[in-house]
Amino acid sequence: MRPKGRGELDSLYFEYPHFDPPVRSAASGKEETPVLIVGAGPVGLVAALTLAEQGTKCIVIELKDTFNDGSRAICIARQSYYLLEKIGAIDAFLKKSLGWTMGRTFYRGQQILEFEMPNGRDDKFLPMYNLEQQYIEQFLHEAASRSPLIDIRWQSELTGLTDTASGIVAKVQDPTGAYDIAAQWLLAADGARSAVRSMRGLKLRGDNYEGRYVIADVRMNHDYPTIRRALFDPACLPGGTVLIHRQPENIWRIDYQLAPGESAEEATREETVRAKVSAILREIGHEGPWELEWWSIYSANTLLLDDYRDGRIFFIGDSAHIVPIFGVRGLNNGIADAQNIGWKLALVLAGRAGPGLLKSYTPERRGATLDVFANATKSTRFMTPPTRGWSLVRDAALSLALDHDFARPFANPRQMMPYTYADSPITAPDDPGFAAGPHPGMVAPDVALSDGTFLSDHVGNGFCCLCFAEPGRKTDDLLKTLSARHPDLRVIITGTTMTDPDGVMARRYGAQPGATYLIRPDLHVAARWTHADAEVIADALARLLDLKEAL
Amino acid sequence: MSLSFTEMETVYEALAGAIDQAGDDHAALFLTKLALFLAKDMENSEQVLAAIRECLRSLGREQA
Repeated sequence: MRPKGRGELDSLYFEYPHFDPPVRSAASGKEETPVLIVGAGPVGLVAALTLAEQGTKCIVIELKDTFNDGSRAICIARQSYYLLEKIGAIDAFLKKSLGWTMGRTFYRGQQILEFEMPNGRDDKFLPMYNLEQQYIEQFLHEAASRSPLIDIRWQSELTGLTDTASGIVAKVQDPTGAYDIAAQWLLAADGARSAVRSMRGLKLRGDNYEGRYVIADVRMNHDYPTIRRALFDPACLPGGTVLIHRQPENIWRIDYQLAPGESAEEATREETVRAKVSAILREIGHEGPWELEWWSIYSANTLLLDDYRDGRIFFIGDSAHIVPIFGVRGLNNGIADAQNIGWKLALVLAGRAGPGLLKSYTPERRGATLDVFANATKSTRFMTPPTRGWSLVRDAALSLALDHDFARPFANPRQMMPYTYADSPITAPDDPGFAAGPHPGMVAPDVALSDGTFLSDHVGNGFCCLCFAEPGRKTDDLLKTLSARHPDLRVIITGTTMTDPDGVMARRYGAQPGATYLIRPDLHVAARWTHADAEVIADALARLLDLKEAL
Repeated sequence: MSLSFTEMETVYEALAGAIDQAGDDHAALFLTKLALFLAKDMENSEQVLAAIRECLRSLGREQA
């Protein structure tokens, strides 16, 4: 919502573009595409860019004629930045966003906790970046517009879906008329109220929580670094919770809890929002002027689909899952969904993987959602205690935290680390010979190299084999065998194709000479061996990719 | 030996559930019983009295 007199797209700082519908020839009849993506929000565009980066064409249809209104998701996690870099969109993000590493928690006006998120010299990106969703969409759209493989069609509504032997036929309506698109695969990136989901008769299942928040963006000159602030039981909102985030363009995100029994209608009235925000700003010491940009209401839900796949359709982002905001995993998990199915579909369409590879999508990404739920349940109970018992224990912990260290970790928001694909059908069992380093399924850690680049700069966009050289072992045969069996596999051999003079990489990977890691296009570890022949590695990759030669 | 944070989280969750189970009428009685019960295993009364003083602090909103 926006203040009286301003339209839904009248932003104080962002000029919403207007996109025309596609120019189609009347005789176009039925069109064909390998992949149809429904929804040009951030998740749909990341999917399109991932497919394009792997050489696969797609059509994206979007009902609206511009980006989403309001800033919605604003926190982008480190792992998402790695994925945005892979799809060629990162420069604009780095230029505009505000990175951060720290949070502060206050109880009744006194600081009780300052936490630092893990961040070291081997991490190419910061743990978190704040950026308004409009910019996220704009930067992704700019990147997508540069690709000849992506065809975005605005003002185009999905009106029907039919299964065929080889895919899906979608009925599309735009201002010029109706037509069909035949797609081999469809990605539903059409958000929480997914039209694809309802056309298929599928429902999200799970729980709704009691606690509701108003989220409001204001513009002001406010002198405070990019540090997440959480205020528990502040004088301006007795018994309630407030979150404050800095965003680019002097925009500040204020999230505050509704009082029990307060109606959504009353809470979202402009006068009410102005009064509450004004009291919060006074509490944090802001005396100067401020302008109200946009606000909305939010309640914590943990909802998801039983299966993220329905025949030739994959659900990605909010169409598949709704998560509470406190773990900042809504958009970040959507980006990971899009990347995950993107590289898999592209390999299958190119004949470089069998269809069995696609069976790993639901266990991996639904597993990630369930992991968010487990953590979010804890943080939601802390942020918005559901009963008197939870409320008393929370308040007791906060009160003790004023003077005692032991109670402070309760107030840590536990912003999540990337999920480990431990139970995925394409995660190999671990080699028990390793005493350290990332297990199969975990995200491969980045390493700062002596030439100023990072390991992640060298792994490429497909699978990568990271071999730790063994003195006396010839690497020519290894390279020859691997490239014969898997021409697209990038092979890095320390000491040969990459130097690791101080052994930093070997330490981070717990790798003795002769060790090998197989790293996926989304930077998760697929398998690792303390010692492995080229044939063993090639077989493992062939099995993972469901290639017939593996049998 | 004090409890790890993971163990403290287990205690936190059990306490929340137990207070709800005791209900509004009996929450204070339940918590006082719990304090006495935990006190019996302390080494001396001074430890308990110190804990009582600590927990009395910051009960209300500080006057600005």
